[in-house]
Amino acid sequence: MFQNIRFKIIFILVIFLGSLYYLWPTYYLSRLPAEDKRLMSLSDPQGLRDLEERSIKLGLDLQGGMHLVLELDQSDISMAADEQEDAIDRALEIIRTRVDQFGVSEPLIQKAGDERIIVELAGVVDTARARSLVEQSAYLEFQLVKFQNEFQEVLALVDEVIVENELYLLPQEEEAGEAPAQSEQERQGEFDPMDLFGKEDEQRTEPDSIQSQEGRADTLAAESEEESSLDELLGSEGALAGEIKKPFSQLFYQDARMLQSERRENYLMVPVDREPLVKEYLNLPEVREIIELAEVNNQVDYLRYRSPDEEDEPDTLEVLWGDNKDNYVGPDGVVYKLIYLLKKRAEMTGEFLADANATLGSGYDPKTANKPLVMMQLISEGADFFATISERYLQRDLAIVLDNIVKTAPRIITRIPSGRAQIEGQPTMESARDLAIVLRAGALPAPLTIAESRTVGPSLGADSIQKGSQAAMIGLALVLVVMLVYYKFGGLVANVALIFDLMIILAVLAGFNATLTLPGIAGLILTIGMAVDANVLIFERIREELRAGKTLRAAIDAGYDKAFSTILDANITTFITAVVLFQFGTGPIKGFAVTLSIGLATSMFTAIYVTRVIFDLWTLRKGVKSIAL
Amino acid sequence: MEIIKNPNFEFIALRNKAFKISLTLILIGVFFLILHGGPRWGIDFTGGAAITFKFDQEIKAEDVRDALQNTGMESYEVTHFGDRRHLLVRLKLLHSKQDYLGAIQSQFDSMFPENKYIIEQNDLVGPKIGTELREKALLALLFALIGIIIYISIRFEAESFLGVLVTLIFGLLVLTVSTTKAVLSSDLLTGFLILFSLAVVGYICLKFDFKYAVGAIVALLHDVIITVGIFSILNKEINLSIVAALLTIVGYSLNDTIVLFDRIREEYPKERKRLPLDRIINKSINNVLSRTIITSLTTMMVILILLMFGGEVIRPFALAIFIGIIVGTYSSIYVASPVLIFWHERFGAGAELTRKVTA
Repeated sequence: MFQNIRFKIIFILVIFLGSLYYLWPTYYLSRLPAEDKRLMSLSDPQGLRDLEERSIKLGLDLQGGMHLVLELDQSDISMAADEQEDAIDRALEIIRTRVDQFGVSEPLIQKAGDERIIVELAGVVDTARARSLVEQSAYLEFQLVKFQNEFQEVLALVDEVIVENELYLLPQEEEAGEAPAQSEQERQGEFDPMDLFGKEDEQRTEPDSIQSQEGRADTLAAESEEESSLDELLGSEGALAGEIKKPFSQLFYQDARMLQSERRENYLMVPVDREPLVKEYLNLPEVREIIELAEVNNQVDYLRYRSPDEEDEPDTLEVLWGDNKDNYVGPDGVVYKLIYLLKKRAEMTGEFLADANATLGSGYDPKTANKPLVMMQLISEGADFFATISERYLQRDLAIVLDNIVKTAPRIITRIPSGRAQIEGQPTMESARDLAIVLRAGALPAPLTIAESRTVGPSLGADSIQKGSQAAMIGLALVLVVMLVYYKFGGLVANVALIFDLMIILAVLAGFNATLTLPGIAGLILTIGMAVDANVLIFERIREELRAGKTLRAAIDAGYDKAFSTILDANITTFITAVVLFQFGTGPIKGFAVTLSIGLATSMFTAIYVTRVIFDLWTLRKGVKSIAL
Repeated sequence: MEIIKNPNFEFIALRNKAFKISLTLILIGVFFLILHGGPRWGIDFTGGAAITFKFDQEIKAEDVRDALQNTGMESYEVTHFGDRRHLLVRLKLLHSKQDYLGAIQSQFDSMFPENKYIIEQNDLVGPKIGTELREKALLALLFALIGIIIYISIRFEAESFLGVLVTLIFGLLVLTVSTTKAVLSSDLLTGFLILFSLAVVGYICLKFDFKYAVGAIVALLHDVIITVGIFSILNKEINLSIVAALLTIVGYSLNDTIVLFDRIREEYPKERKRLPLDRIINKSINNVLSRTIITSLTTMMVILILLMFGGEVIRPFALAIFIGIIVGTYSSIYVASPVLIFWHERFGAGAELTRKVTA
């Protein structure tokens, strides 16, 4: 018996410590001052995300945000099944791109059925933006990508501006030296942009390239790279970063893959960790201005890098991000996001596009035969236009930009006179399909309407949390008092179990990534009320058995035995309704069903198992013959 | 401490009076439902928009109504929400692309330039989603009932194994049919499906003498109808969270009923030779009485706290549960048990006894 009870105590302790472990991040975050949190979101977004992931998530009704159900608009036209599928895919692509721009953390974008898209945006409450999400038609542009060398020069200019005007977004030491949150591995990938710059001129083909369907210019053979292996690069490290201040450019990296590939890429990369910081910097008016006018003010030595036949006047520039789909996971596990320097003025817009389709390449060229590619068809005015562009920018990258996100940047490798272009270098048929969707998205508007939208302002959310938890506290206190007064020692035991119960429920919510909603808090409060029911049932039974003249031990045994099936029955039937609620409810109500069902399960453990162990301990080990009940 | 020592109250003898009370409550509720043309459905079910504004200073609902008249919107409703600074505007939408919020905001900006406001909540439900949510809510109630019948029959009436089996198969059938989208496309079919299910469930109960299940279900329907009725009397709207509250009431009331039924089932074999069923039930009610009081009181207490301090958003939900807990506690004693006796005497083993005696 002793052995047995020792095991039980250990089991309970394990559960107790486990709950503490799962509750810790929630507690830590709730104690973190807002300013520290803001700093952390810039210096160590990954760490903050980890913490947030492991703490209890608040539903949109508590943290404020917007829940949208978008539906294919079929009021004017009726669509065939494949048209419908195409339309929803296009819409999904547009929505995804636009939501990316919102900068919402962990947005949820989900296809629901054949004709709906669910979008959940935490923290976004501006309904006008939601409308723009669907009502604007997508904006597709073809923009010229500047050479990486130029990009790096611009970054250096930004560094100067930041240092001169002391525009640092992070405390100084952190920036110049090693950011504490940045791992050793991450830092190793760092490079000094200037080191690698200017060694190559631009040519080559391989990945993404545009060429005419008819004639294919012979592509140059790969010029052999000097053997700078990845390891060497990793070893080189950004030693200079500490000496010369590079608050901005040190956040950028070159694609390590480029060293092994024959193609020179013009984009740079930013670890996703650093994305918020880079975005903040890019939003500074001084930074925006220096980038925009870098070329016009002749601050970029553009003459050095422009191709010989380029007759362009200097133009305004902008920095745009690549698509999340193109994110690159480095060998060290760090995820990088692509970033481009582009000429701001678009060379062409989506209105010149007639159609785009994914297909497999034909012919005998091993580079394209049977490889996925995208066929792009321009309308007739577009064809002439594109012929000029492709001639002028031969061997340059032309970015395909949807709603200000660079979807891909294929290289023009031949003049395209016919208005029929093919974009090669698609790794899979699926990515080719996606790109075709992007191109078509620019040609057609997103045929969506808002079928449902629910927005809760952050102040109301905060108010709900405050009032809800206040109500829960008062309710809990009252129940504890009633139980203590009515059942004395038994009440004390039940109260311990009840508090333990609440701890486990919250820990399970955190551990399973469940969401706490306002009805969820109500469910928690209801659980407080109902959780004592099990103990009340047991105690009343024990009292009855005692009245019938049984000894304390026998009465406790009989009390637990007889009450058990009743408690089980009652909980299972309530569980049935909770499951139904979960199945049919939406958002907040699901949260209610979740807390209710977790509460049912955990209260069985605490109200029956835990209290029993305490009683057993008391009566067996201490040899107590009677207790106040 | 004990509230009552060895309670021995007479409950069952009062069942006719209780029946009249229940009937009156239900009839009043139904009267108001008819008067108001059905429950006051929220926008979750009717479609439309509901916006909550929070103004810096108090504002008169009439002024806002006047302001909205200029927007050209047709049917709207303006009420205070909690205090006089909060305002709830509900409106029907003419078409899905209508910029109702922009129209309202520009009116507010020009009519009350001094009184700044924020939008606390803005819900928009299209007509199609509204219909779907209505169907879902009805089906949810239906499934909860079917699930409960199945569970109770398994636990309490396992001797009629066949009956349990039939109920189970039927439950699965309804589940498959209702998840097929085609069937759900019309209100009429949903209504028919629900009526049909109820008829089948009734038949199963009759055929297999599911007296416990019948008692529990009648009590649940009683609670739900009375709660909906009271909401209609108070002119409060029924929205998704109220439906969730109704399901919770179903769960709670059932919990209470099961505790009692469990006791009856325990006492029945011991006492059946000595006492008639209604006496056994009366004794069982007394046996579990102190538990019933303590549990309902603590639960009611926490819900009352939620009602008072939980904030405006959760209040209707808390109110529904509060009503439900009172009615649910009452119904276990005065609805579930009398139905059990009635069924037993009319259709069950008791009926044969009565018939034999009369013959």
